[in-house]
Amino acid sequence: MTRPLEFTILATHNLARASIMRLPHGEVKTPVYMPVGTKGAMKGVTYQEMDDLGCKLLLANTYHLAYKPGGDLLEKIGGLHNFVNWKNNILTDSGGFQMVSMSKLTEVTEEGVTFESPYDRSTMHLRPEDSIHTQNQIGADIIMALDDVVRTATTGPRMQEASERTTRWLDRDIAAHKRKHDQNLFPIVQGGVDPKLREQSLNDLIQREANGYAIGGLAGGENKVDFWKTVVQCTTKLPTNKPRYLMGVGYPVDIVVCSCLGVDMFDCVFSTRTARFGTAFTDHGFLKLRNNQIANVFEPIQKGCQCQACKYFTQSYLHYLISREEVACHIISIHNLNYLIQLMLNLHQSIIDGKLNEFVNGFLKTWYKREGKIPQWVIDALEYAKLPIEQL
Amino acid sequence: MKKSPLFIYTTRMGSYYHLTPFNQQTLNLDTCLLSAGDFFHMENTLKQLQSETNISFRQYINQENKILYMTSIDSYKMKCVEGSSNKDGVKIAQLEGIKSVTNKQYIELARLINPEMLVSLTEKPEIEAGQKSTKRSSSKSANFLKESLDQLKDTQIGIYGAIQGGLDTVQKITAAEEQKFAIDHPNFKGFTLYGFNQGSTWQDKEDALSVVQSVFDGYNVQYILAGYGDILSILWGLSWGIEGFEIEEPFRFAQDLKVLLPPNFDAKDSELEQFSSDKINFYELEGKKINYLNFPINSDVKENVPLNPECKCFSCQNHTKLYISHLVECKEMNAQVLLTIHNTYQYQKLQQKLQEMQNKKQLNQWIRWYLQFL
Repeated sequence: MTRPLEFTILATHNLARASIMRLPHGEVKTPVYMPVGTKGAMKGVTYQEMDDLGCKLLLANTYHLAYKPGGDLLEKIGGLHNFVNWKNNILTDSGGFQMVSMSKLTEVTEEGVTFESPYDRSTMHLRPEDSIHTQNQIGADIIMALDDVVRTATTGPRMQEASERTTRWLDRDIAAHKRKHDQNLFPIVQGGVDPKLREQSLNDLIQREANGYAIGGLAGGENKVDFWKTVVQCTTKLPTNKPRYLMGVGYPVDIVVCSCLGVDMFDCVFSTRTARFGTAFTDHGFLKLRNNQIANVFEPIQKGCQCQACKYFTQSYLHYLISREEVACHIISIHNLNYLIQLMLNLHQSIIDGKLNEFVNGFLKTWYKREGKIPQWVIDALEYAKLPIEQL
Repeated sequence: MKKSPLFIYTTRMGSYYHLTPFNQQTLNLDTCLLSAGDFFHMENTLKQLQSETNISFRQYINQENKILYMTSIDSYKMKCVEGSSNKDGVKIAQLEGIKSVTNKQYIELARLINPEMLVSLTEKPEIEAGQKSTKRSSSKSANFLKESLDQLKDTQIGIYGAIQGGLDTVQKITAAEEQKFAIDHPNFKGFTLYGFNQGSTWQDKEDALSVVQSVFDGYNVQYILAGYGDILSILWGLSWGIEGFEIEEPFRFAQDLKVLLPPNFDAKDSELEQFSSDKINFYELEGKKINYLNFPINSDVKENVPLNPECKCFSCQNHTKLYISHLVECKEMNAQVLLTIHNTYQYQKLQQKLQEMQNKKQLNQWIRWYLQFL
């Protein structure tokens, strides 16, 4: 393989695409949900179990791995794949988001970011060159450019400054990237929900030609209309022959809608985080296993699901076990991961089969049955994607 | 009782600690210790399961084809059974706190669970309890045993009495004598022995066990050793005729981020010949310890090797000490998962070896050979 990423579109339905993305560690069908193993582990789920679920691409985080076990150690061992014994693909985030969300941020300058480490309170500096260097050491198949991250709701000069600086940092990221032959550097489109800033960012990034692009700065509490319109602005502008990665989005409805709008890759910690609190994903919405009415439900979480939770346990048993033993969290996590992985595979196949319309209508009808109404933003977004949705 | 030694692995509500069904596959676990306190609060659910579905209890907890062993005492909870002035019951630690439970309720729960092995309800005397209090506990336990034998005689459940009394030989004899009537009952199988905890001397343990066995000398009685199931206690107990062991140590060690590194179990016949085949004496165990490794360790590239290069467990075949140490340092629960798998695998290898040595009638020789390395 001459390029570290090849993206082949198999079928489309207006903006939606079913594709195969070939990476150094194998093929990935898109649209795809990427589970998050922040520190080189999926909480309570072994990498062998992830492989058993059919996961072909997952995330790890540079911010945390740079601290422990450290980029130098990972480089000596031959990279994160060897360290954790994962034979499929890995994507690493640059660390920018974690700096904003986890650290006491002291200063952002053109040089980089100065922040207080949450681990030992030492003062850390992170420049684009440092992030790329560590990601080169980690050895992921896809790496992210360090961006100047601001909260989605930020407006005015600071948002503009962040958007423009992200482009300048991208040039430094590209210059610092030493493994162009086997690692794909994705730039991150910024601009918040400001169409002008987004447009500028898109223009700047597309000029730099990358193997794929990420859409950042969303899923931060913005209203859903701004959310989907910004996604569309990006997907209609970004090159069609390159994958698009929408960062931090992982609610089932959001990933179905955004797949229809032309997004190919998603990641979110919600699936495993909510599992640890006893919430499972089902076709009918979220199932709170801790609720007392679950105590005598002797059905699996989701009929027809082939995950360990549904093959071996009832809702009733998991309801009781979740308050007693941690393995319940592992089991429910496995279910939620399987749910999202299968959801994306089924959506991929429905595009190939020319049945995306039926798939999406069926999904939304079941998901919103209890609520009795599909949100208007969903209907509007899918109408834009030429997928007419019948209201309930 | 099936094959000796029988290792009875502790669970929480029927689920092994940290082990999903996928991760259990490599371990071949065939027993389940069920703590009654885990199930009292869900009695109505279990009744509904039985009356309204065709899901068996074993299917419900995903432990079909396993030997279920039900007990009121749970070594994971320090004080899980307390005495009560009520002669009909005791207090048991449950999810909602310590609650009173009658023997009738305990027996009803046993019917719902239908284990192969049931330890009769017992009252654990306080450590500093006086003679009167200890006598009362002992009599209650005997009474509970009688009721269990009578009321469960129409089932296939094998009943075990509970011999309390710590390591006090007088109390042990009293407890044993009070439960001797059980031998005549067809559903009686033997006794679970309590109080042989790690803090005592081996001589005290030997004395206490001897007096109990003297009461039942000549009778076909099975003995199960309650507690953590540490390796030395297993070696000692098996040598002295104890056939079953409650096992918690591999999980407890993993929870404490320790990995068991016992010496290799394989010995040549020629190496065993020099050793006596008599029962192990207490002084042969003194000063002996099983080796283990505490995590985290130094982050050095040299540690990017398996926990034990010769170990065939899932953890050693797929991961390294360095990675596990990283998980520990990052407080990732996968550390406990991998350590549990490794530690439990060691126990399974030990069990296989002990069975082999029993079959070859070389058990005590092998134990003596093995003790050399501890």
